[in-house]
Amino acid sequence: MKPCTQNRKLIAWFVANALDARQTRQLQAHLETCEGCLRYLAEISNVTERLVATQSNPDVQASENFHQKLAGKLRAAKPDSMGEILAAYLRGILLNWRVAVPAFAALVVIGLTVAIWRQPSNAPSPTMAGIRTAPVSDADDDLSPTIANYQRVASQSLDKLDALLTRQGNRPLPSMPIYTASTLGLAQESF
Amino acid sequence: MVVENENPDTLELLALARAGDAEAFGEICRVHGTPLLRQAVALCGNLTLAEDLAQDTLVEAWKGLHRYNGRCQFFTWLCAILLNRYRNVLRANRLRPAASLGARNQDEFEKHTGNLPDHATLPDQAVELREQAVLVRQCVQALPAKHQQVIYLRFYVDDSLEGIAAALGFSVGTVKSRLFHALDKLRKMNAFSAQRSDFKMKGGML
Repeated sequence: MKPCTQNRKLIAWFVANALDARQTRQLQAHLETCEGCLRYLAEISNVTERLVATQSNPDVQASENFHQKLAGKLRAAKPDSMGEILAAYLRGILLNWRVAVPAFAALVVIGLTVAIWRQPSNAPSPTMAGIRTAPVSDADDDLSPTIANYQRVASQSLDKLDALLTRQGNRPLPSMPIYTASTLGLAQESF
Repeated sequence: MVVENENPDTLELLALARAGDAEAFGEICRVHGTPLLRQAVALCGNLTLAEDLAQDTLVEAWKGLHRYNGRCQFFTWLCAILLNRYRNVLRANRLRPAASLGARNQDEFEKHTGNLPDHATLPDQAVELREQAVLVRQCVQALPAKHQQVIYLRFYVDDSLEGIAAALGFSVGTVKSRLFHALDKLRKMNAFSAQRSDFKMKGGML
């Protein structure tokens, strides 16, 4: 007769004194009615009894020579430096897959996030294009006539804004037509 | 959690040794040298190798004393180091465990490990006990290393499950699981079956 599958571990722990009082009581009650578990208990008990019975106690003593040799080895050895302690600690962590795998996964996620964030956009939005303007210099004639540019120059100096508007107002009109389908952003077909 | 039943003298010496007091550690070596050497002899069956193992274990303990967190008996921690060093020696030398060596070395192993508890038994019984001890050791050494560690620390060093877990750096649950699997494997071996002594070694090593 086979032991109950769910009780095999409990029986082994019971024999090895690794079971708490409540589990012990429950198991003992079960053992009174289950022949398979009782047999398994006898077999595991036999193992532990033999292990204990064959516990050897060699009749040897650490001699003076042993201690002298040990003292020499200890003199040659130094306690670990802080670097070695840290290295051992990190090695211990990295060798533990339960820590290493999530840490590696977190690093990958962080790396990907940074890579995506730093990737330059190929087509900047029209608003951004408008805001990103050239640095202000005395020769601001080339600044495109946008509200954002005027605001930026005004925030520096109203005199500069005045000068800019004057300069741009005195410029000759462009020869190219201003209001075309393309400059207005309309499709050709709509005309 | 700090182990409660540690010898107060050892605790005091450990505190001093941790602060760099080499003499205090020397005193620890005096206290634990012989028990550790006995464990080493029981493990490898060779006095010369056992002396080296015990000395190297104490040196490693001195170098890494900061790693001892007081959650197990200091001697259990030393034995865990001893087990690892023995395994490394076996790997490096590609040795087979002492208990699985040939007849000549077997005699030496029995000579060193033959002091079984009951000295008053008849010579025939003593011989039988000795043979059984060798067989049991062979069985234990045929287990995977992770199972050997737990069996060794539980039955030959005799610490609590919490102490074993702390010494090996595992959870108590892992230790309990390994203990179950180790006992179950031993149960299936012929040497542990009633009235059978035709045990065949699987040839495993620590």
